Amino acid sequence: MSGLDAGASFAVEGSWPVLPAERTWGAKALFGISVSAAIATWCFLIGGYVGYYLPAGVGTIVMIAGSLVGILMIFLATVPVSTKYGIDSIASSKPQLGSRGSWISLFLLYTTVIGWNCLLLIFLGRAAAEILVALGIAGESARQPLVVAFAALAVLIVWWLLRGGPDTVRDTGPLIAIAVLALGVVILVLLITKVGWSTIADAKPAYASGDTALDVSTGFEVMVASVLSWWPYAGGMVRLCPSARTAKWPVIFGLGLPVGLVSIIGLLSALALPDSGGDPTTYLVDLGGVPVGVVALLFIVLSNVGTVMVGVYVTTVGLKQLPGLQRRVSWNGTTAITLAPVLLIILLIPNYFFDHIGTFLAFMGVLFAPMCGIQIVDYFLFRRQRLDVRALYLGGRGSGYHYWGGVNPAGVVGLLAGFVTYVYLLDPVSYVSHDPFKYVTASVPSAVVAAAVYAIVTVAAVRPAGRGGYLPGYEGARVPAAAAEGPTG
Amino acid sequence: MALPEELDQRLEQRLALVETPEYEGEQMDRRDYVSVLLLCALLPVALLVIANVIL
Repeated sequence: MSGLDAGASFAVEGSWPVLPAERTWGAKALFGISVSAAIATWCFLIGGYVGYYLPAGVGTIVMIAGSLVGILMIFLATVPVSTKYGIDSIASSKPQLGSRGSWISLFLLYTTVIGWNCLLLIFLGRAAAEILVALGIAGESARQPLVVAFAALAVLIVWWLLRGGPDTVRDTGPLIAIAVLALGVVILVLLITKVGWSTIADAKPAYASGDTALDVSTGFEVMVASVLSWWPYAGGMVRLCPSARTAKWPVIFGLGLPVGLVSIIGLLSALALPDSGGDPTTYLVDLGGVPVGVVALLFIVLSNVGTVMVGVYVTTVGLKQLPGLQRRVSWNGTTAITLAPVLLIILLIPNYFFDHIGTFLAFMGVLFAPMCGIQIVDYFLFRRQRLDVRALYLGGRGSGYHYWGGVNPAGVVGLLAGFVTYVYLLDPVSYVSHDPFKYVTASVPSAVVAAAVYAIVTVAAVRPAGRGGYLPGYEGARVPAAAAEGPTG
Repeated sequence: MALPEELDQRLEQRLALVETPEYEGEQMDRRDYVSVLLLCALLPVALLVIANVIL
């Protein structure tokens, strides 16, 4: 953090608002970091899942559409507010959920990123173990211990790389992105040349219902819900960007679209090799031979390290919302807290976790659509793009975002309404859907219902009670830091 | 680690700065939003229509 004074260091490494002069990520850096965060093994799994419902051509179109809609919701919910005030996603959710209610979004952030990081690191371990087995360095019997050992080693490497704060993420991100993109193309070429485009193009999806609209909507929803899990990442990243205009295209083309594009590899591989489910560690060496397979597996290792680094950075910034961590625990200590559960899961229950990750993450994902809905309606409609920054960080009584006991009932009820809507339309575990899912999908209506319920409760109860800082003439909380019940950020 | 009083003071100073418009990040104008909506809302709808027709 050279060049920054202590306050700036606290802001960039913690959750305080970052001033424009301290925002060091330009468009190129943000794009590189976004791409390196977006491109990871999970893209192959997402594409593989879409491959159960849609054939190659239509699946490609639908995944691109889904990634764009998903990133639109994330963009509107986080980018304008985070770039305006230099705040992360958790802080930006305080006006809607309340100073204490925002712990809901912190919980979502923590558990979601832990889940993704476990998945990515176990995949990393699988890829690294496959390299050693393919090269004849280790035997088949050593595969499982190697998976655990490499995944655990990667946890330590990520912690070590992040000692430098966000600068490390910025400096290594673009390099990883370039390597990842080049190797991604190699995998695609390998699939097409070895399996054959006509075989892939003619392959029938395993679980297609035969109902065109239903299959398209299911594939589309898989993509939208997956991209929505970028909600915690987006705010944490763009707060280090000097303007919304600078962040605009890097977020869309770096964080949203690449997920759709790289997932195409998973789609094609799932159609070409149905048993793979899109997981490239199962077929790369067989398909490309040892030299190509090993290089491609290295691609997985590299890209996953990049993604986990960004995830841990964003989670660490989010955890700094807790006063105890902001004031008493160092940056390195907080990154260790972020990584500790990941390491435990890898050491204790890697296979159990890996087998149930879909269920765990599905329930996390369905909450981000309603979250986006209430954030968009509150920021653009009720607050006219202006927040009381002081109230974001000093959340005591008298603060605009204290509401009732630190919780905004409109936000909580809105989230619940959106959650129920989503689960009714599409069960995220079984993927059983109800009408009108095939015409309206699930994420978008879930966000719309959450926004509508939030607006109704706000107009009917919150605003008339004089809570939330909505009333005309409200000029912001005048609570000094020392007198507040404790900075919430 | 800095003392809590020092942190309170630094946070106060920072919040005082952020509350002034000149310390806000540059925002997007209507044209920016339109371009984002065209790409991320209108194009996907067109793609979904095409997908339904092709399938």
